Amino acid sequence: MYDKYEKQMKKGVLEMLVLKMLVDMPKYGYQIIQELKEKSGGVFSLRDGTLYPVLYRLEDESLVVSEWSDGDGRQVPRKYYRITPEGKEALLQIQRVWKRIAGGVGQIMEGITVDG
Amino acid sequence: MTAEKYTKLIIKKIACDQKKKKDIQRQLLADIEERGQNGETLADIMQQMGTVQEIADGFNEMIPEQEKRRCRMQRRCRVAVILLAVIIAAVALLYWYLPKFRNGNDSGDFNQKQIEETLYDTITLLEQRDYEKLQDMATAQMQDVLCAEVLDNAMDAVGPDWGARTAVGNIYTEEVTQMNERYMICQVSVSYENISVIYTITYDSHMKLAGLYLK
Repeated sequence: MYDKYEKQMKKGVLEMLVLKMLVDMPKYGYQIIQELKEKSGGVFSLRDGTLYPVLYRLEDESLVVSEWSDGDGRQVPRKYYRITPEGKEALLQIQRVWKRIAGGVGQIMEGITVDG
Repeated sequence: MTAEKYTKLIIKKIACDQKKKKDIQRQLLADIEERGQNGETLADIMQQMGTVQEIADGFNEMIPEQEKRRCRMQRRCRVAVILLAVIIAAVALLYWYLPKFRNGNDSGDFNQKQIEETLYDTITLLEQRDYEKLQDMATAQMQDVLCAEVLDNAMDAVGPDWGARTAVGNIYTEEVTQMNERYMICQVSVSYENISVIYTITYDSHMKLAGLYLK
């Protein structure tokens, strides 16, 4: 019943999280899925159909760029995503927005108690 | 279900251009292969990734409306082009199949003098009931049906006793082309002492007897 709320909330922060995942180094899709799951304690367990469209949109907005790697031996060719300077700037802005929203939501929600 | 088919079904449902579709498929296949190398079965992988529709919906939600419209338009154009090609092919096939007529005098393939001579020879052989020679000048298909019994029955059905030939009318010819084969249809009225017979005789491009009709 509450799935849709969870989906909506996750959807709202997904781009920020994906950009954050790419700050340190370029990563490929499956790697992002695994790391998001691991670092969020299983909260963000994404499916390919959810992650890739986000990556494509970030790429369309020039916030990330991608490049296929050559297959090396048994390793399959992978498409690596790298955050651009515009992407890093966007991430800072989105983080500010997130903090403001999270703060505002926190202030409201602190006043609500749930009985029993 | 194979990984190739699974990803193909997914990209088929995504409303974006072919280049992006190919890239998406390649990426999904790379993912599947990587998961496979980690020991997961294709069934497990597909369960984790979601149904074809779920994955396609995920992509479609993120694709801008303008790109979706462009994709739909391109798809419609492709369908229209295929439909047009099918219609053109069907019309061409129908044209090839249907007989096309033109006046025999305008024919470049048939010699009028030769037609007349062969036509008289054919009529003479029929009058003489020389079926062996008739068979010799007929196409293989006609040879199968042009037996003495059939010809006797046909000629007797027109009239039991024709009598001697008294006059030959004008010869009308028409060239017919069907399925790349050319035929010459000749019609002539011949008067006999007791009856008038209209011969409609067809020859192929080698002047072999290909059809015979008596009235």
